[in-house]
Amino acid sequence: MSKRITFSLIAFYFLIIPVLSFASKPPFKFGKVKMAELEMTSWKGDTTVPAVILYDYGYFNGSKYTFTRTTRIKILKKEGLKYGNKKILNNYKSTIRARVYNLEQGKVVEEKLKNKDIYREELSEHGPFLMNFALPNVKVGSVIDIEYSHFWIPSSWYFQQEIPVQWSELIMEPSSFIELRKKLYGFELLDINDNIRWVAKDVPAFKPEPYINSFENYISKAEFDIIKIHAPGYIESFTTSWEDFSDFILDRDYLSDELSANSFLRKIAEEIESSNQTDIEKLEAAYNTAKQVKWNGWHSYRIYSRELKFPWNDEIGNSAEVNMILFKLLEKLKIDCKPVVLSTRDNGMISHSFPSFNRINHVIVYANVDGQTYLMDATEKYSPYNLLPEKCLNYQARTVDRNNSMWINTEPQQKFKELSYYNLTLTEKNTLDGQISYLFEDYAALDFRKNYASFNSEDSFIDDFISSRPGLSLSDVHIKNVDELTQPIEFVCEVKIKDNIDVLGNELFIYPLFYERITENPFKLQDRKYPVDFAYKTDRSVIVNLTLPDNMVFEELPEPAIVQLPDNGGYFSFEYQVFGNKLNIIYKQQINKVVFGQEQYPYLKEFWNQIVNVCSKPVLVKSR
Amino acid sequence: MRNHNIIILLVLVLNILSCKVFPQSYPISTIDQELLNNSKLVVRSYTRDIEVISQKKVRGKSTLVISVINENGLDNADFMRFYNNFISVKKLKATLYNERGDKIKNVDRDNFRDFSAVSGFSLFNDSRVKYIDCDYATIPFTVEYSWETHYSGVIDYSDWIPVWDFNMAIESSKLRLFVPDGFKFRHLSSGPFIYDTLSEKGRVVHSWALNHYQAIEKELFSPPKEMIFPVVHISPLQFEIDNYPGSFGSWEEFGLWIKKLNDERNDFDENARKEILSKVNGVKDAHEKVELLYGYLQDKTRYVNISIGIGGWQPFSPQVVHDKSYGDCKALTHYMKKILEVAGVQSYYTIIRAGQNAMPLLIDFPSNQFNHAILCVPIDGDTTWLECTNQFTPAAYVSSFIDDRNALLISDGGGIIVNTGFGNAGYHQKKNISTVEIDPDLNGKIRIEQSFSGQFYDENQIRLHGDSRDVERNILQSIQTPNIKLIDYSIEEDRNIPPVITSELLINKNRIIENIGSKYIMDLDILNKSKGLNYSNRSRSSDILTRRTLSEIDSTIFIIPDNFQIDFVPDPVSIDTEYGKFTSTIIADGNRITSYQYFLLKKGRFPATNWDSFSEFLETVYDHYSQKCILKEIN
Repeated sequence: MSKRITFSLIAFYFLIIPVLSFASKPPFKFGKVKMAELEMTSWKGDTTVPAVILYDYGYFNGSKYTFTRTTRIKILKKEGLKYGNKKILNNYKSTIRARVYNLEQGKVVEEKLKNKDIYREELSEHGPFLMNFALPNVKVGSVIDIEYSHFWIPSSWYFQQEIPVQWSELIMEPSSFIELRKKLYGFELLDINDNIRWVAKDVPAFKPEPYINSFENYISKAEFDIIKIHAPGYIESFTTSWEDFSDFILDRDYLSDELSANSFLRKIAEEIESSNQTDIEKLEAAYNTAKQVKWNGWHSYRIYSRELKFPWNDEIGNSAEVNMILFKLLEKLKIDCKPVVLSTRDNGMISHSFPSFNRINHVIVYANVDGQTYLMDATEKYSPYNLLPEKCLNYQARTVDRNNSMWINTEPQQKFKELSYYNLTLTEKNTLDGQISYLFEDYAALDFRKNYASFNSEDSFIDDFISSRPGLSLSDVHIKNVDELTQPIEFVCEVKIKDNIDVLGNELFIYPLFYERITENPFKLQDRKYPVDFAYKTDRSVIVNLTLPDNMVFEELPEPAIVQLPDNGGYFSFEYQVFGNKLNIIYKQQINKVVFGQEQYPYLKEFWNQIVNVCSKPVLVKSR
Repeated sequence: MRNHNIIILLVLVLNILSCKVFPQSYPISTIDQELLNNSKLVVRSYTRDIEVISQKKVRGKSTLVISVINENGLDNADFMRFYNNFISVKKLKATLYNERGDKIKNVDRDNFRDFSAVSGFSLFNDSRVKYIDCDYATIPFTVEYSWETHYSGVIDYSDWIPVWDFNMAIESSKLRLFVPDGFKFRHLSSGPFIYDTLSEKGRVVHSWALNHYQAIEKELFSPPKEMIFPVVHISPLQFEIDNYPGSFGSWEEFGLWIKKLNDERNDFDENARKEILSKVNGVKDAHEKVELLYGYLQDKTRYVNISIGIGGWQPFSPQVVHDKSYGDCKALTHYMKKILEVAGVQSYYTIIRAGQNAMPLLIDFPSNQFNHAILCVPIDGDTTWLECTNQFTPAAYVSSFIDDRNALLISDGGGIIVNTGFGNAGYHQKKNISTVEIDPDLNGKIRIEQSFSGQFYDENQIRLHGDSRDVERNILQSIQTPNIKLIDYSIEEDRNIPPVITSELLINKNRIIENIGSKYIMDLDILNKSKGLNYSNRSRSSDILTRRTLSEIDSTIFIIPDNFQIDFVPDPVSIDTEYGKFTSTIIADGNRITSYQYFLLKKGRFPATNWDSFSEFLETVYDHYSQKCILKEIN
């Protein structure tokens, strides 16, 4: 598609008289290096950074339809020398120039990047194009200027990078025949936010933190979508609203394949129809049928094969192909259903106010059976029909429907649900013998199945399982329902435990949550810039029945505890009862919200501190 | 038009003639159960015929049939072969078969990919990849690849490795090498290959067959993959690449070839010479010159890998490095040699196989086994090694990237095998000297002096060179203990040999002493070193390899509040085995507890049958890092 635009634009290029010319001065000029920049030895914002981008200036020329990016980098430490090597990846062929400036005995010495030192590659046939180069004589103290230009608008601009940026500026000149829409992302504030000019100053380096989804949601950037191209003799409109987006996909037949789908899916639909009674059974059967087509690893909102029967016959297809087979089957089974487009977690969020097909990368299927709605993705081998895989849990999705397109919340009913049950007896040799059983449901079951499948035998799985559980030996292992995806996983075994028990002098201490103890706080850093995103809710329970020999008693037990997060965000509790030489513990840990704002970080950190504290407490056991 | 028909007919006839042999079918059901144990993939048949036409021209013809048994095998079933200016991959074909062994289809040429193989550490090279993503929904299935490899310059014929990952079994495999009568080459194999040789029509055919080979599983502390999997190395005695003929007749001769390549790159202008000399003006001592000039190199240059064609073996000229201030390992090493030469210090370019866990050099098998270059500077019977791609570490420091292995030194008379030497006990050491002051609320103020040398120094370079956030992250990772707050830290480097990173850390930790009713327990393992290992007791197949002698020392003084008395401290522990040592002593004295642990893991190689005692040693050691005391509150 971009190719077609390029051709038509080039055809009219010379006929157009520039309408507007832009008057703001660039913040710096390529090659005009200031003495202060050469003499600078550290960055004021953080003296430990290896290099800093002094200026990053992007300019889209609205009359020539060219984009130029000029960047000035200051090298501050040896680790920063790598910023003297550059790989520039573009969909268009670019022109480039670069200089290095060094201060040598008070004099400015300039080095040029020679054309023969630029290595150009086509990554695969017809691009994208990669330019590799290493700038000469880059040392600590060097100032580097790099400038490249190419045809057409950039699809995004990052104000924030892996090193700090002192001045980031982007100008998108209005053009006579391209209409653009922009969307800003991130947590750093812009200093200037005009219609066509954006400036961010002193932007700190971007560092990912645990429990975030795509870094694309957190890094400060601008994204652009073309709304309309209207050159003389050529008009093409793109998304202007989410309603239009639906039409856009439908008009281009990105998801439809009416003719061929009818013939090959009709027979399969008839088979499903005849061997299943209820709609819900048919839904499940259709889902399992679509799964026979393997997902090839590509997310897309578009069917690339000429006809859906090709992926069906080849038993492999992209995510749109796999899920549209499911959709067509459901249609034929007369189940109320719609295709749904979304952006996967690693691809960043979509927003209500910014209809963007750059961001959309995946299709799933919505179905309504007996008033119950289902979101289904047949690309996840280990998901049952009623569990939407984690990659799709990105807040919202949009149905594709000519007149009735609407938002759908992707937040699942299901949780990560795990129950551990220990039934143990203390022996004279100070070991604990008995059974452990686990029940994994929903996302916990999905995780278990994925992990289990990564081993080539049950023995290897068990080796891995015990490797993080010191002192545990297993026998008589039974794992049920590995292939029954709608059923919870049951994992039962006989155990002997030598660990989690301390003999200190005459005293015997037992850590009664055994291998379910949480001993580490996942939130280590003092503060946090970004929200915490868990993807789904969690529900963990541990039940322990501990029996002592008749001649022994529980002398000391830790305090029961209940700790709650604000706003019903979650809680954990540790409670127990003693009946003579038997101890019965119930431990619960629930997270009831998917996203916690960064202002709630201190509560989360403290919550886990408390969990770790409770888990570290032993019970004291004594002879009568 | 008519002619076309005839040609098509001819092709058909030829095809029919050549298809006299019925196509082999590969149903999954015929795989022997033994080969399915722990397998994700089974190589049904892998054959390769290499025909040596001349010393620079070689043709290879290969067929590979693999069955994917489960999903984990998918990645290894993809076709991936590198090519460059000297090696081309031709006539590539791929066919899919289902579980029953019926042909599904020929894989479309649309699915063949051809892309650049420039990896992250390399800025540019001429290496590209032919790739087929072989994917089919219904596992198990079988895929057959056939292709030809044409060599227009030869330094080796690529090692023959019929299994290239764990959990892969072989039904049958065979390498055949066709050489003209009198052609000289060396071969060396490890693994249960059946070797055969046979003469026919002016040529000799050598073959290595390996059949019914069971899958092996990845094991901890095992030697590198290359030492475990069956392999046939073949090295021609005479080779030629890009019109540079050379010989693997001996290391000496191969060294002469490298020397010739390097000697061609020797220009260095007067200005450059002057600049070098000005750096050592008035300096007499050779050691001092080396130190100064190595510092000059480290400040001036950076590592950038660009290699094209013969540039894979031949360095840039010193003048180019001088002007651009960058180069790869060959260029920087060669440049450093030139710098020292200008200053009147003799040194030797040395090639090596680098990597913390690299496979050792096969010294009886002169061949292309190297991936790195370093510089050897002998001064008065004392050898200094210079790693010219590192901008940070002190001169003469032999890091774990190049230590303890043979390398090929290029002298005027050719190549000579030399050894880079290794560090004894105490060289690779991690130390934590701590004081823990516990306040009446039972929280602790911990001061730790942490030091790293040898391998630990290499692994924690980020402490010296990272920005503040990276450094803090690295510190917190070295102290896996929960509920702590890093208050302050300082980091220093001792640049003697071996260099040491020293960090002073100030940490607050909540609840150093836990109470349970009236009992108070103090865990002495404040750094959370007790890893709690649980190794499998299943039978093991590979040797146990510990590459370096590593030691860890922990010494901690706890100062407890006045209103507590010490009720119980654990007994001392002392373990001494052939694998290493562990001692732990805990002494109570007034309101002080002094805890000391020493752990030594010796460098060595032990048979697989030692696994139970070896793993028990490690399990016991890490278990004993968790030591606890009991305290009593007094009024």
